[in-house]
Amino acid sequence: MSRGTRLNKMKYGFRSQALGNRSDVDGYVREKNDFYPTPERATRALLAAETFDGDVWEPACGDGAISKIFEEAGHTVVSSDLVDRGYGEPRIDFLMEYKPRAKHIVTNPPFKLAVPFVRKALELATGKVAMLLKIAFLEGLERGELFRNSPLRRVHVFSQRLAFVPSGSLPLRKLDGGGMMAFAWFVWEHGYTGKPEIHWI
Amino acid sequence: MRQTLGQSYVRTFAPDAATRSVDDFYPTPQEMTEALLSVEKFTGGIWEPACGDGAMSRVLLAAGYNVFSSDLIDRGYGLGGVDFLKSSRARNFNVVTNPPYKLIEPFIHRSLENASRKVALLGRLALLEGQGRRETIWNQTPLARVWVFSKRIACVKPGDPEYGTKGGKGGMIAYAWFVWDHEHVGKPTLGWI
Repeated sequence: MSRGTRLNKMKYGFRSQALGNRSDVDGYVREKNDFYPTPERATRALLAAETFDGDVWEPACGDGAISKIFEEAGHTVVSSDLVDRGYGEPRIDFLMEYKPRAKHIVTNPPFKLAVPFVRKALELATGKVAMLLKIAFLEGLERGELFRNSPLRRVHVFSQRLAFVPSGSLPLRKLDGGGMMAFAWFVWEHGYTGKPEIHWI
Repeated sequence: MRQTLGQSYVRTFAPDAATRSVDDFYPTPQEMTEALLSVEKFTGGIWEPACGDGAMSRVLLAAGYNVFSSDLIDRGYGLGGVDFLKSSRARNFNVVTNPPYKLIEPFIHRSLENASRKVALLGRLALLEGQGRRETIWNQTPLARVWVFSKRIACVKPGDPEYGTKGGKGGMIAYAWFVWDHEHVGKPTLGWI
């Protein structure tokens, strides 16, 4: 799929999904390109639960919400994004990448592209892959296959819901617990052969 | 009939009481029970304390287990009028059931008191997340495994056009088997069925 096609798909696919499917409406029209800056405490919780020995690549860095916290913790971070949001290297389509830029990959991927992001990250990372995803990502036929055939090591479930507020957009309507979603950090580690563990953070 | 605590709870506090089946009665599709049995073995007898019309008990019996079936409501199967949440410790080794969703927390705790081996409860996958459950459930109990369904299965009441089918509105909810084992140590693990 060309970049232009995918951009259109992202743009319009998300919008129609948001308006047509209640389960995906979180109180806001979905932000263009699924841009929801990661709450700071989500990244800090990951750093408290996992160690990353080496450089980290954030391939959907947005405005640097995750990258900044990792750098603050002393990591060297390679930041890139498809869209230029004034942080990292812009116009890098992660799904078209073929060269590893760091040992570990940590990101909050566009949810609609979560499966390709996970696959690509597992291809390119030699250490860990950590993805911030909805808990519902655990379920589904395609993902069942993905999990069975990948070294998923830990799922860190947030004990409290995370509030994602799309930058610059106004609330469309509030649903119960509007904007609050159940998330987890999914952590894969190359070489891990055991069963994935559930942790609460 | 005098209402039990459980019944009055369901009727009073369930926010979607008007649309929920009376007493949260949703027979378990056979394949959900079969999926559990494909990955978990039980030593000794099994108590099914929310047996309804016997949907789950029948599958357990067919697999060769000794099953004691009871329910708060008599639906013509098993022993009726048994309020599991008030029942005292029994001699059953395991509890396997699909509890009323609104009562899942008390069911977890009561099951762990009543079973000496394993407890397998069918619940929504969303049970995993937050809102204080880390303290009230997850750090308190020996959860051993969570078996996530790779495909959605409709969990609807008899008479519903989707009864016994896959997908549709009943299929909107993601379910999982939550399995506790008194002998389990360490973190719970995930598996897919």
